[in-house]
Amino acid sequence: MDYLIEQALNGFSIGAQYSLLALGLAIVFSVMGLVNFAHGEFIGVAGYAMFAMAAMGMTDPWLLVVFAMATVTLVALVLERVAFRPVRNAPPTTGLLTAFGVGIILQNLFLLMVSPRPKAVPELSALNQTVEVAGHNFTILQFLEVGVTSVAIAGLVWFLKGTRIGLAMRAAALDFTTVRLMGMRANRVIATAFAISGLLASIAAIFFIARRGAIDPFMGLLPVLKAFVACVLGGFGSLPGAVVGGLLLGLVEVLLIVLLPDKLAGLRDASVFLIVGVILVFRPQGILGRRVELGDKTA
Amino acid sequence: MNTIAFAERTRGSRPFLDARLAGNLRGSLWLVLIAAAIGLFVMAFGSPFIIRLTATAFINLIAVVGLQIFMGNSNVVNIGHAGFMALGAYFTAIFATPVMIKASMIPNAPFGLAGVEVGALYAFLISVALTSLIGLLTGLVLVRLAGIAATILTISILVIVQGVLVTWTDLFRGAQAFFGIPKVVGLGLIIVATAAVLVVARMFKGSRLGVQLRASATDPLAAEAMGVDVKRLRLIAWVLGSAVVGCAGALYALYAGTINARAFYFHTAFLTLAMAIVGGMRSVTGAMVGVALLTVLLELIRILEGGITVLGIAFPEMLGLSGLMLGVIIVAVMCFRSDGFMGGHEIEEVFAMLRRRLVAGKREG
Amino acid sequence: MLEIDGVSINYGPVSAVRNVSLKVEKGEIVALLGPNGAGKTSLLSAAMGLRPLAAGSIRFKGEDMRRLDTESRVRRGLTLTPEGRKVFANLTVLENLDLGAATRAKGADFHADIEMCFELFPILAERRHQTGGSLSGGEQQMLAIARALMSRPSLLMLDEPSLGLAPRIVGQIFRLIRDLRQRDLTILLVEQNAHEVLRFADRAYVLSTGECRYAGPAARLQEAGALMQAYIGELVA
Ligand SMILES: Nc1ncnc2c1ncn2[C@@H]1O[C@H](COP(=O)(O)OP(=O)(O)OP(=O)(O)O)[C@@H](O)[C@H]1O
Ligand SMILES: [Mg+2]
Repeated sequence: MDYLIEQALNGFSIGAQYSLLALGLAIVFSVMGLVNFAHGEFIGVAGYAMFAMAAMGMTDPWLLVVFAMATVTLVALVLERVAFRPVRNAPPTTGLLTAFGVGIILQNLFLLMVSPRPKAVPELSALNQTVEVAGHNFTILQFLEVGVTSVAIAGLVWFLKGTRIGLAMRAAALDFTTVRLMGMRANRVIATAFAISGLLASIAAIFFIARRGAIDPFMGLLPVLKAFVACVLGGFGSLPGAVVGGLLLGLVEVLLIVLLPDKLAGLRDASVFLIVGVILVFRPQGILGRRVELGDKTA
Repeated sequence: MNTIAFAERTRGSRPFLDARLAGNLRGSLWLVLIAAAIGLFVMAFGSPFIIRLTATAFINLIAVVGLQIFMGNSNVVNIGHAGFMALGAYFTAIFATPVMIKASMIPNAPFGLAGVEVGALYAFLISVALTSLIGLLTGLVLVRLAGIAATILTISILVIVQGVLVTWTDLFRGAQAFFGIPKVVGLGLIIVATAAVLVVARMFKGSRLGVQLRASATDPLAAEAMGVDVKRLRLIAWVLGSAVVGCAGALYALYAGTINARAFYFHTAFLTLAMAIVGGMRSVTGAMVGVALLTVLLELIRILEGGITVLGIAFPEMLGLSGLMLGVIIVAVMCFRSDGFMGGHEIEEVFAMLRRRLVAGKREG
Repeated sequence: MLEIDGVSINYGPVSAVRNVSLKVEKGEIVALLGPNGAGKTSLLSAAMGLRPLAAGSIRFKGEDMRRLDTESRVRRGLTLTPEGRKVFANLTVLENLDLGAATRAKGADFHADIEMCFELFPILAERRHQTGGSLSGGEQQMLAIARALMSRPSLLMLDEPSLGLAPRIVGQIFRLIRDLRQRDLTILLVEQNAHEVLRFADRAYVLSTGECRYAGPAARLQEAGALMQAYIGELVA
């Protein structure tokens, strides 16, 4: 029973990270139809930003966190401006492949400017301390992950319902042209979507880095693939779907860690993807997605 | 493609079909001639290093052509092909490696595979057949999905294949290299295989199936309304593509003699995908151009990467430069010429255009 | 107020509009008529900057519009309710109206304008928390018009507001459009329902297969056979 509760929180806290990443993907996709394959690299950007700060002698964790979040948001805006704006009206495949190229660029920039080898970022490791709550062992990080993610999601909901640009983003998911006819600037709507996706990714990144204590140039690949999985599970482009898909994925992963013996540890990722495949066979539109027929406007 | 033109074409009167067939044959012939000329030239004059590079490039070309068969015709981004390359390589290794070597390497292989040795040719054939079979099984799921969901499934295939290879140590040796595969394939055989694959891809693209598939990729509803079974077409392209990619893996195993699961993961998937994109994935000629361009370019950058001295200035080692350039090229191609270098055209179309321009130029001048 | 001068519009190799000129003066109701595929929607889209011009110029309040993007045109008082209504199906009625006022701050007059819309269309007040997609066709058209009014336009362009609506609702909408004139609004109305529109329009243009076939007083088109002639041949004004 103890074990169960601990693992459940573990699953939720890992799932929370996937949810944050998946939400960012889903927001950008729903607003401009772009499948941002480079989304995972935001984790690397956050990591290397913190690493650079720490290398210059600034090791205050709060400062690092704020700096990382600001850098990622800025990078997201720059990428939108430089790489994604030229392909804004191109077919989805072009956008996906552009993003794929952007991802490769960022990875190799980390590699070129820092090192191909992993680097330690120990400043946030204090968060891994265990605390005892009602007889169970948890880490501070787990509470933070669940708590901060909940706050972020609540903030996002408020933004989408309570601000005009949020309304525009929701409307743009179905009909961008008419949003422009209202006098809403397309560039502003899309830039906001990117900024939000970067901000959410930076939060997830901080948690990832706190858990691992180290960074490497290719650290973004697996998380972004998982975030894609979360999106597909929930129904691509659906925001609630992204959250649910992310949490589900976290629980499944923890379940697999518990169930699979160490000898089969190499099959953990494979099993996650196998489960995705099976779900897609029975519900090609995802769990919360609407049924999409061949020929509908999709990614 | 315009729906009506498409309808006309699929109904296709005989002579028209034959003209198309002739065009495709001529186009394939050009590609084969160019590939063979490059290959033979390298065989005759190349240093061992250049020969090695060319052989790898040709194997990549086979993989990229396999990628093109599915992606270029169905317009679904595929990242799973590196998994099929792995399957092709490992199946070949298991069947072709001498029993003696296997006894020390995979003594506990299931199904008595440790005691099986069929010779390189049969191993190659079995491997391509098995890869196609797996292509068929995965394809049945894949064709039900569209767009990004289909792409995610191809990624799933890659991750699952990798997971199985690394975990099933009794059969695949896990993370350790699989060695001792007979090195019976040289550049010559690779050229022959490349030529065959180029012809197959061109013929498929030009066939009625290929034309219908491409039409359905641009306008799925119209194609379905015309009674085109889109799923079946995509399945055929997927299986054919898997077979060709598997063939690339099998050749690699028989050429290199040693294989390693890690070599068939995202890095290979991304590199070959980039080649397809840069050349233009909608044409077979594009696949060839993409492989040639990126192979040469990346090799040149790799010299820089190691740190060189130019005019007395010593440049430091710059690991990651080739990857950086790769990314920049992809983004640039997507922004400025999203159909790739060849813009979806085949070689004979380019020749025809040049000829027309030449004739027009002469008339003026 | 709006001067469209010698405009041509192409879709790739297809020419949709050829050398069309059209003028709307302040306070007028101008009807733009023509059969399906005449190029009416294309012309309005071009006026909003959603389609590039192949030739010609568009001026609004004396200002050249060619350099301005769609958003800036809205800010200058040019508004379009698009063909097929295009209400935001996943947003509530209130949220739709809110977005309609995207070019203005959310001050006191914003709330006054919402009240004004609810006065014009009492049914929308009842449905204020319902999503746009759950409204009937007529209600959606009213919402589309109300949403356009929220930007406080000086020229309102309406693209087939009667499309797919029952005659009774159409009458209601047309009455409303006539009332809008009293609110200091200039209107360019695209319609298939020619006879009804000509009764209250000041001037009319007839477009057919991308070319202007008639330009002149609406009343003249009401004469027997004139409209038919304009549709199929050239009627000299
Ligand atoms: N997106 C498009 N791509 C290609 N051609 C188009 C496009 N939109 C319109 N056209 C063509 O331009 C011409 C004019 O179309 P438009 O929609 O402007 O006509 P319309 O007068 O509004 O017709 P309707 O009364 O049916 O709305 C038509 O021949 C149409 O086929
Ligand atoms: Mg129209």
